[in-house]
Amino acid sequence: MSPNQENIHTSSDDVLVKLVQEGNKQAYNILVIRYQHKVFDVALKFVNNHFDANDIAQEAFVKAYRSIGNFRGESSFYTWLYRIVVNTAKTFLESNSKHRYNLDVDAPEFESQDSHGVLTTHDSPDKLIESDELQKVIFKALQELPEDQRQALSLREIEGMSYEDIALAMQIPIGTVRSRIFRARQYIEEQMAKI
Amino acid sequence: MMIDSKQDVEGLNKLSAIFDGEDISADDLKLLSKQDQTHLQNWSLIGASMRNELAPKIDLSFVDKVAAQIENIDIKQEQVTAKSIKQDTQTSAANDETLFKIVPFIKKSSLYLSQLAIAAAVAAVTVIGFQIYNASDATILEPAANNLVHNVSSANLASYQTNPMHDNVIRFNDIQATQSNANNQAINKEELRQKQEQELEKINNYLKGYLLDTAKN
Repeated sequence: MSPNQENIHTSSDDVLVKLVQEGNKQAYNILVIRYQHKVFDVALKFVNNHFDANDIAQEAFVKAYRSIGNFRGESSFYTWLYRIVVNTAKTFLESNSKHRYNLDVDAPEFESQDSHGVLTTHDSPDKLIESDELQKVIFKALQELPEDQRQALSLREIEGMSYEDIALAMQIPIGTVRSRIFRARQYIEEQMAKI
Repeated sequence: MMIDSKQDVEGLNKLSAIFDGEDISADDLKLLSKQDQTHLQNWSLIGASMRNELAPKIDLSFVDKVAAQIENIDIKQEQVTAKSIKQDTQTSAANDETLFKIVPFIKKSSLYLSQLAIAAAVAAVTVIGFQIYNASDATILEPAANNLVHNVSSANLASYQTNPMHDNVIRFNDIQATQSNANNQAINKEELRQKQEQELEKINNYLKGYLLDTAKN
């Protein structure tokens, strides 16, 4: 992970964290949406099992919510959250080391497609999708984007730059940065809906 | 994964900015609909995919599950509970600290007292021991005299035999000593004195060693 990636959303996280501390649950939802993939990825490194990683990620987010009142912003929100995920995963491994993993041999597999053509399993209420195809669609859509939109979105998502910094880098007004990023997202989302 | 009609485009443009942490306000967040949340999730998938963070399988209901779990959690109550636990811990720690200060004082005082008591006991033993030793030496050296001396004219000769102030005492010991070998008596006294010195030295060494050991501990 590059330093820029680590800093993604950091400043806006502070605003959201403050709102959460004031009791705004919707702000926490946005933080969950932002970091769910990263958190899941960390958990998966510990258990190498989708279902357990999902449980760990959920528990970590709940724990983080419970103790967010004590978060003082001495580190970034993600750094703080990362520690919670790691501790949750370790606790999970300790409590399940004796019997759980022997039972995972027959973990449910994806069996069919839902109405949106997304692969799902009958054994779990989770709305699961395989990321391979999704990733292909997203990258194809990215290639189809106009250069200015792709560049603006890449600077935001990969480099973690603020709108102001992107505006300076691309020498365009902030309003234009905002609309370019939105249009890029809108187009990719339309392509995702076709899966 | 539906896109709203054109009239909603400006709202989505604003939502996209909110997602990136630009122009966030509590009022904006209050207005977020379920459809808005779906857009946010899709944009999150796009970002994660671009950063190569996507797991092989993605649970699209993840955010809803977390939201359901935190729904009944009052974060301010949690904060109060956490604070009270912290305060309890601090109070307990303060009590422990006070106790921690008192205990060494008592420990230190008891150490001094025990040392003093031991020194007094040793001193008492030394004095009494010395007296008993002298008495037993006299008994051993002159058993016949002690056994033979009886009260004469209401005076116990054995009691007075070493006291030169009693002139009316018949000094059988002196007589016996005079009659016995004068050289032997001198040797016995010298031996006695040496034994006494040795004993005193032993007691002093023992006392010294004990005090040093106690002080070390």
